[in-house]
Amino acid sequence: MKALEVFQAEANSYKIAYDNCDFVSAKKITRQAVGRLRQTLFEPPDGSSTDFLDGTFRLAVFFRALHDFAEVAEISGHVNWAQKDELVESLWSKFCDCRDRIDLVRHAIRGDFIEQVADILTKIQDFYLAAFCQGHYMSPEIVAKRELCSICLTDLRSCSHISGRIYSGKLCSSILDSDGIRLVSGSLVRVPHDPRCRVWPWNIKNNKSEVMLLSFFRIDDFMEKDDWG
Amino acid sequence: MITPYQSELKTLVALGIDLEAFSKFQIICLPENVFTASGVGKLRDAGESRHFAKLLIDSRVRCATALDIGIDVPFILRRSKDSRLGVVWVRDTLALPMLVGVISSLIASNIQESSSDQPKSNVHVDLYFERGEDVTRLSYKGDGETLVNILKAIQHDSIKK
Repeated sequence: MKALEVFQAEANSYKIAYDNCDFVSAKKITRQAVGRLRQTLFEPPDGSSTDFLDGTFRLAVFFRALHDFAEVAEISGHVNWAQKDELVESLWSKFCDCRDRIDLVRHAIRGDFIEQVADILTKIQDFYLAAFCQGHYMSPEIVAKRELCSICLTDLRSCSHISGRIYSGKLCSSILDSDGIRLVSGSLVRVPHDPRCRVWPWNIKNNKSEVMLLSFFRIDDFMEKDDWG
Repeated sequence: MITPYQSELKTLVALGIDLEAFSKFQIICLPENVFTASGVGKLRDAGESRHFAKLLIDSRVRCATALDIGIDVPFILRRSKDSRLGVVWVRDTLALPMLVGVISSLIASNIQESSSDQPKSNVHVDLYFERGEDVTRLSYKGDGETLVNILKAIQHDSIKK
């Protein structure tokens, strides 16, 4: 079987496991798929084209998103999850992770399945909007001296890579240079850069608040860590 | 609002900006407080300004950031969905179609990520258009679609002239 057919078969197996609410198996399938794709990215076959590497990366992000999706389904399978603060927050966070990953690859990986996943994510968002309103989010102001390019590790201003684009199987993103970072202030906003920093009503108790100021989400966390799942 | 061109240039020189380098570019993305900061040490690039400059370069615009014209400043990251582009100095109106294109693509990506029920994100930008010995300033904070329409009108106007 060709590599693409193997991954098509794995996506089908995932779908069967997901439809049967067997989320443990669904997650296992995605972990195996991401592991193999990651290995291909680390040790690409001789003569691999840029398109092949970019496609492999997108496929890895897709399977990583399916892992998130299984976790979302697992949490929403709990009885009365929407009345349990911890589960509401946890599902929201996984939902955001899954949506960001699906958004990155949706234009390149087409098919009914990814559209079904995207539709369910929209329904989850609508549910949150109806049940918890638009919400407010933390938006910290940070002053930093430099940001480095994740591809070439030079000052992002002076290289040719553009954040959010994929280059030979690697996602370009900005890495804040730890030297000279200063938190200036934090604001509450309605349209956040990162919806993971949502302030939930139960976060504020007895004039004390426990809210996430900044998240360190990475779309391609699987490239850096073995134990991402 | 028409402001004397020379006064802005004097401010830039006082901040250590290399005017010879400045004149080589079509668009310069300057620190957001370049005309209000009390000194070089207080200058800050707007969070999205550097990314914006790269997108312009990618669209074949000769575009510079503060670093390219002689000053290395920190940047301020606000982590809200609003796009803060800082001060954008347009020296050559031939670059306007590309400027419109890049702003349109930034807006489109923001619209794609938000549903119709959600509040829309805004664009914050101070645009300076060089017109001979004068410079026209457009300070804008609002929705991206209106900004694109304003820029298209300016572009149309500059073609007629």
